[in-house]
Amino acid sequence: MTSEEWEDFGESELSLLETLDHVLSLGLVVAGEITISVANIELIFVGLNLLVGSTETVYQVLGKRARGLDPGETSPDISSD
Amino acid sequence: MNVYAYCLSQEADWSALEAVTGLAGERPFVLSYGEIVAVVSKPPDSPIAVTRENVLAHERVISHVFAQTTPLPFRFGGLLRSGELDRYVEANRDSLLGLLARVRGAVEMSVKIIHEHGSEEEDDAVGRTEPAEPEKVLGQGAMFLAAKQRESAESKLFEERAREIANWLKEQLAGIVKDSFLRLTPTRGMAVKAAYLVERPRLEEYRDRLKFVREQRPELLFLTSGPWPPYSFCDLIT
Amino acid sequence: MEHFRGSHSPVEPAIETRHADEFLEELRRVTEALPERINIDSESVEQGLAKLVLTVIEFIRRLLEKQALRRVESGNLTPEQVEALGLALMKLEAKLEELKTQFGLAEEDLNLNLGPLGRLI
Repeated sequence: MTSEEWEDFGESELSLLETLDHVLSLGLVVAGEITISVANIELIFVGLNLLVGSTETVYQVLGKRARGLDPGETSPDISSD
Repeated sequence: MNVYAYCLSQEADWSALEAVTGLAGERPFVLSYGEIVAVVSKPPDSPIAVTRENVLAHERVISHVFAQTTPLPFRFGGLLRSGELDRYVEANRDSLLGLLARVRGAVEMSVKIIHEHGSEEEDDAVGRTEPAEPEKVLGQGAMFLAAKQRESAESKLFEERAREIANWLKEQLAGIVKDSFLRLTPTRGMAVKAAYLVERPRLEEYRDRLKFVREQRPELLFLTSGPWPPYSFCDLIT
Repeated sequence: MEHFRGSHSPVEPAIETRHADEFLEELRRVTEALPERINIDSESVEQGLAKLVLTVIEFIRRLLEKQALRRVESGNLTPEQVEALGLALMKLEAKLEELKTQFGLAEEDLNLNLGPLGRLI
């Protein structure tokens, strides 16, 4: 996968979810509650779409998963040991 | 004036913020409360939508501050009405200064652990709570209770397991981490969500130890991430 | 004051795992658990009150459930009593769900922070 292709992807879904888990559940809160709205279940799929930019690339990512490859394999953000 | 809040910090070089935009493309700016400084921006419309764009903007502003000093990050969605922020800082000044001192020079590292799907042993343990006479036709009420019993037994098992893993991890990392915050999530899947406060100079040591530690228990699945601003160490109620 | 010498450019948190699929499944629950809308502006007095009342009822319901299970396990109840108990708890759970929906509250909305005593639920 070329580096330009990777740039289209941006961060992976996993990265976004990890971020969400931090910024939505934790951190300072002034009032007892916070005003947010969610697109509900759509979020992840829409999110994935936003992440990869188009339906074609969504299938590319899914295709990679089906071949047993980690879609983040060549990402500079995800290191494997 | 309404503001969207990103983080609280002590003094830093704010020219770093000139390069970044926050939610709705708004430029962040600082509000000073003496030793405590708030990084805010003009807010987008309420309610704040949880979109990839907004979430990353939130993180982006905070990470610009984080490059220089460890701030206390606000939870996403912090739209504050005029005066709310002022009152909050004044009312909690001492606690906030305490938190800032605690996180100074450190970062948050995250460890999440999933336990491989239950062993036969576990399923047996849960099975033992089944009613002794399965041939009998149970009414709705009795079935409801039987299901609750199963849930309860399972729950206890997962909780024990989560606690055991959390304690083990704590022992393994003792002496390297400054502080820890654990969320036990005893479901069939995720057992533990741990956050560690690690001093920046000890990050390498931490990573090495963690690498060693995960090899010790191959039945555990690990996800590690970081460094994060200290979201997990912002609890004012101690 | 701690300034870090060297690069002032922000560092993205790195994420590392050998089990992306398993963690994806687990982490997706973060967003699935979010209620449709938490809006402090539109929260009426009634909703605030409802929350308080329902929290207490939910707390009691859980106590009742635990107690019922203990009694069933003790073996001192006749099958008819077990059945009646189960039905009553089932109805209570359903009723509470109905009320939560009516007031637009999710499970996570029901809780009381008792300060040093921790949370009620």
